[in-house]
Amino acid sequence: MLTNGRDFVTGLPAGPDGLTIDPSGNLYASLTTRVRAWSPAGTQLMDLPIPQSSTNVEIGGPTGKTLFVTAGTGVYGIDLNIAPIAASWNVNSNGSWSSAANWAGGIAPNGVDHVATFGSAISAPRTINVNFARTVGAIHFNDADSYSLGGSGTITLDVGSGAASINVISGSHAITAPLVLNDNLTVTVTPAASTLTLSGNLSATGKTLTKAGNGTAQVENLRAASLNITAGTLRVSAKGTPNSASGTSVLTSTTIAASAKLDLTNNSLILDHSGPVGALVEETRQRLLDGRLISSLASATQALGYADNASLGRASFAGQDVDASSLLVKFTYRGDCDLDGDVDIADLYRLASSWQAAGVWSQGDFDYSGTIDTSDLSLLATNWQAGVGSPLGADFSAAVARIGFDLAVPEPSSVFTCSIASVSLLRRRRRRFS
Amino acid sequence: MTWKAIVGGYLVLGFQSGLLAQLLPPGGSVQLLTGGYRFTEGPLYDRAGALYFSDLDMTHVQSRIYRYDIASHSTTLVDPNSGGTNGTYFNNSGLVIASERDRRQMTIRSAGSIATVQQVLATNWQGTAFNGPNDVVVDETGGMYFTDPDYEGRNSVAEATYYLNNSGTLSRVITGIGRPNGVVLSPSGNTLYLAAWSASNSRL
Repeated sequence: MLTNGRDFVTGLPAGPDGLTIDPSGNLYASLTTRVRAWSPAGTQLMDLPIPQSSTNVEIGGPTGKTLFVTAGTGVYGIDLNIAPIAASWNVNSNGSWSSAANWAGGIAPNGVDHVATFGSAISAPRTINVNFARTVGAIHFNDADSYSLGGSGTITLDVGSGAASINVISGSHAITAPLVLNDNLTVTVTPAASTLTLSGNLSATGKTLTKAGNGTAQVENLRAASLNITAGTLRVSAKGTPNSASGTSVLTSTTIAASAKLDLTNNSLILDHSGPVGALVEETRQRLLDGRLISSLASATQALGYADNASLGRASFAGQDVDASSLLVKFTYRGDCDLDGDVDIADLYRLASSWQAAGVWSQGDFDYSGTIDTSDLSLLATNWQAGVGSPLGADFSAAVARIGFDLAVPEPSSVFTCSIASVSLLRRRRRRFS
Repeated sequence: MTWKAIVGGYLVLGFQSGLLAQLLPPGGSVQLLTGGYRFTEGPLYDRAGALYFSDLDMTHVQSRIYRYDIASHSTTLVDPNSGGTNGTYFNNSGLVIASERDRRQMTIRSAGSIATVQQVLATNWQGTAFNGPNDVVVDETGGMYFTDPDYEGRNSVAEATYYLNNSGTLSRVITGIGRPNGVVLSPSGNTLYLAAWSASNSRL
């Protein structure tokens, strides 16, 4: 297996001890009083005096450019002037990321600030096997044929400064391997018709994800500090079971530009504020009204409902622990004020309590108009008992009668009035439904 | 796969410090990050903001591994009895592979704790104990090259460089190099560099 053994450099001032290599293939060696480096061709590139007797060397650190030297009683460091690798996939076939021969230039990108470009080398859809953990600062996709980066190895996105990036310049592509963000990430999908599908686990705790470009990026969920959508759509993939834990996103802050969209399909979202939810409830209604927060699966029956958890008091929601300072969003029936997945007398009570008043979903505003009115009552009535298991509760007329609504009054503005006495009746009844 | 030796020689050639600094930015200087140890070795960046390094006990009793956090400049003891770890390297699963000079073995450390030996990989060549494994590099297949020089005068198996493949089969791949020390692979994986510390066996 090993052939062609030969001297690389000779005549050193001391016995060489530890070695390391940089992304360009330059070799570094500890030589007692100094560390030297050579190009792959053997040309000496560096001769660095070390204060103590050096034993070993390592290149790493947050920038990927620090040369660490163990020497005598200490550990030393110096930042090198080394360039990250930028390489393009170079074969028209499936293949392994880690195989250097698959990349133009013969070096597979793997390091902080390295750039991997998947461009015009392919003429049919290809799968790149991420069989070992890889690190890059940027990934570019630019071909009408689709690339899919998959495998058990994790792709870590890491840059020395600024944000890591994934860019789709053309075509639709997928990363099925797990992604880990060591830095904030900007995903730019430029063509409106393009989709970048990130179907592996996305580890983004504490990081900011920015979605740019007119195209669509799809994730399984997003659990990060912040989400900024400056253009196009960020979609959470539809799950087999709505509001599955695997689809629940948790964010502390979000910005969604005009005409940009966050599409939750049939998933839940938790906006976990450090303080009270406050104006975010109304902001959420506005986003839903103007189509910045959407479910592409919404219908006359089902849509995204939302509530300030201070009004619901949930300890857990869609598979995640939540506190009172959380805003909760769920794909549910129009009529499900309290986001428990059904339309029952508890929801009717909430609607009745805010009848003909300004309010939000959790008070009965199922069409995001900002007012709880007859159209909302109509939606609730249409979906009455949806999601309720056997046995069903009272039919709608009986429930309305129970809380004293007068359906016969002709004026829409006063169709339903709710007496103090009937609310008291409902409060007793609610205990049986909660 | 070719391999090349960095041959140690005690003949001092003229070197031109300062004229060969393409790899160093202007004004950069070597900084002491942490000090006060006995004999430092085995630097390994953990890919998450910290550097592991070994502190070897010259009496071969109680060597240690420390973790230096780059952002906070703080150092913590993470393995109080390391077995004399020298060179270390991450395998393709992100686990630390350690060459243990004092326990004279190659090991995998556990993911949760670098102090925990998850598995002993190799201790001997055909029944004869290693002298003191010194350095290791893992290739793309998960196989590893490691060196076994005899700095301690243990006079056990002949000094050599070994390859342990990903099935656990050990091969002796380079012999006749005095004090085989550092090993590293080129980014292409096609060239193995071996530091030949001793001048006396410099011919290949």
